[in-house]
Amino acid sequence: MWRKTASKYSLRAIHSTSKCLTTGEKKVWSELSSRSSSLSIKNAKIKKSLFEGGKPETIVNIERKAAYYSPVDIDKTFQLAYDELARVSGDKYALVDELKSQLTSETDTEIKAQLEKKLNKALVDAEIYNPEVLYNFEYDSELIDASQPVYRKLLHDKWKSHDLMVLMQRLEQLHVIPDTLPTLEPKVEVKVKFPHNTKSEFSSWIVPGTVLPAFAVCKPPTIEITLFDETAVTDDSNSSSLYTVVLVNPDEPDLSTNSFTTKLHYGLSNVPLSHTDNQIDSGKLLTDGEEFTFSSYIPILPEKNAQIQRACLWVFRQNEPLTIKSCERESFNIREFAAIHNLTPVGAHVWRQTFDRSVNAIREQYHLPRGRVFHRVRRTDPYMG
Amino acid sequence: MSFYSSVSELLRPVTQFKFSSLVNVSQVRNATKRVSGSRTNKNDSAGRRLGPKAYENTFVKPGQIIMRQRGTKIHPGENVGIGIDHTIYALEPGYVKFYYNPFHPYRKYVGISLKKDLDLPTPHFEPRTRRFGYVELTGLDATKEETRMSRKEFLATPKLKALQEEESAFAHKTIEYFKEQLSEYKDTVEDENMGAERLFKIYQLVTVGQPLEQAQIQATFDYLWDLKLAHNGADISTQREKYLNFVEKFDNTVSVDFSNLQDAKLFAYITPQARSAKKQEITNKLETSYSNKVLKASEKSEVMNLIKSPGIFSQKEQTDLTDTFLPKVLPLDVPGSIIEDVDTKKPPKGVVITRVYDAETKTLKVVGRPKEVYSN
Repeated sequence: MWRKTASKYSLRAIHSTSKCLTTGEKKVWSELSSRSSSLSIKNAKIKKSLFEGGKPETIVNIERKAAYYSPVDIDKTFQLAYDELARVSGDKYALVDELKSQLTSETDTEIKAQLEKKLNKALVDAEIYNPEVLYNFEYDSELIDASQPVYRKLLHDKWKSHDLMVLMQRLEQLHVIPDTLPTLEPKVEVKVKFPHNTKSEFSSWIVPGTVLPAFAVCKPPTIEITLFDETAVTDDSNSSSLYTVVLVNPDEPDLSTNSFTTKLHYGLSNVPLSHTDNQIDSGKLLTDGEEFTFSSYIPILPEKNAQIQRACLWVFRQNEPLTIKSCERESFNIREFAAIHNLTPVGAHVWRQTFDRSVNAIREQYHLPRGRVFHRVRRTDPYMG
Repeated sequence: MSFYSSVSELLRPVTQFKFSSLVNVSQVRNATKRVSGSRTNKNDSAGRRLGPKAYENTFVKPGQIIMRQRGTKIHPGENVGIGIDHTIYALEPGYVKFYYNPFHPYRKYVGISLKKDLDLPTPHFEPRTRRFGYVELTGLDATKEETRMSRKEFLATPKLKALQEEESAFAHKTIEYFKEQLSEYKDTVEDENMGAERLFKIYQLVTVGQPLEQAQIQATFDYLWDLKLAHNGADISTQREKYLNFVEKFDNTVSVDFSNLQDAKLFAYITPQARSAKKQEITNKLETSYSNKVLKASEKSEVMNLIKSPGIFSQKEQTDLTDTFLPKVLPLDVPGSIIEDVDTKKPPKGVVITRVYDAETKTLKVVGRPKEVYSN
């Protein structure tokens, strides 16, 4: 059943190989001594039903399984395609070995970088049509191992096909760019959730642009930063690079100029992230929070009639470890901050907030003064800046 | 044209007439053309007074008209709006600027700049200049405005209040229940209140889909965060240490079976290794003695108890196991689940008459099935 839905790769694969016939191929995909165990299906029953045919084990319900009949000759066709694809993959792995040996003997950094790029591509090509990999990616999210180039490629494609487009639309339409930073070349996927929430509508990942009540953001968020590019890491695929995360509100009312200022609400720096360890969650904050935080979390608490405000979360890649002692929260200039510390913006996220009945209680919790109240009709007084 | 040349034009015919043979013939022109104008020439109207109403660098107020036009001779730019008849009007107080936009090089634009010396268009990568425009209220006006509700909020208030009360009542009840159960572990758990509250928080987090381990960390984090806020920046390291010690001891003493959230039961903590071993043991037992046969009611309850043994299987695993070992209807190939020779008119007690599809003869067959085949 899942063979049909697996992904474009598997379908394309089966079509392209129907012409070819197999001859004594090497069994690369069944050999697990040199390959990661995340590249094969963990559940023995499902694996068996995949290769030996019969009723698919992916259907748990007995009645539904009994009612399912596979298409005619699917097992034969599948086996034919599988053998051919495994043979092609064997060639790719031969190329991988060759590139690896070249890499060890090479000393020039530029050529080395090129070789690494080629190696990465070969590793992706060798596994991209493996039905076990495609099954894991589609159905077993626990087995998605981001240290494997093929899973990274699949994750990247999935992100580009939807979530990235949504994010960029929200960033532009809500004028996060250019109100905070000039523009963004997205390199990492940034996901945000507030795990302290006990209501289901606020406990999952936030879609960019959502308007959230104050109680839903009253404790620090969990931030997941998925790295796709190979330049993010230097030595092997698991080494980490350092990141800075900044949360700003560019809509803080400034009555002296009859305009807005930017306020800093959260600042983390020197956060080591890698392909596999990519979350800044409560556990990490509990152990290393003090070390990372240069500006502790204060939720955005809009005042009455101060209109809807944007919480802009920016993720920067650092060039070197930073020593940010403390930062002035009021009139925070994020452009200057990025320029001074030589930071490259690689990802962003945005949600919105407005005054609600939970704001005052949270202001008290955080020992903040009571919020101002504005008249609900907008006046025509000119801009004073 | 000079006076001489214009007059000479008139004079020339007179000199010609002197030598002409037609001197005495006078021309007669009859009225062959209709008078009183024509149908088509009457459609003129008064001017529509189109054109700019405010010029470059004029200060305008919101709503003031900047341009009246037919079609968009000039396009609306920053801080202006356009009406149904393409009238351009100001949306912000500021200075009128006519400009070209590099993204549409063949259009003229008009916009409002909030400052006289700021030119339009605003550079593409620069932040926008924005006006806040709301006036701060003080005293009684402020409290009145703050408590003011929209109609929607006002109508929803009683419902929200009832919901909140229900929630707090549930929380109170559950915490009391946990406290009661914790009294069994009095030797190791010193602070029952703290323990019960922690369990309730974990219970809530697991309910919204967090794994147990993560929920435990989150509960700790939330407690310490609240503690930090309550002490307003004062040193809390001793309390922090104390709570972390409590948590370690508590989590290794008692655990809650969150797979069945309706009646969550406390049980002594088991290590993950022991848990997976137990899992294997139960699954093996189910496979060997309860699969592929018609189960009696007592056996069914035994299977159910095994599946629901506290703290072993997650909720998803439990549903999967129930689907496998206690399906709604047993498959036909299970031995003893079909009774072929049966009086369909008068079935014996405990037999249900049903129709099944026979794949060999491609027909429907009427057979009897024992009542135990069905889960209910």
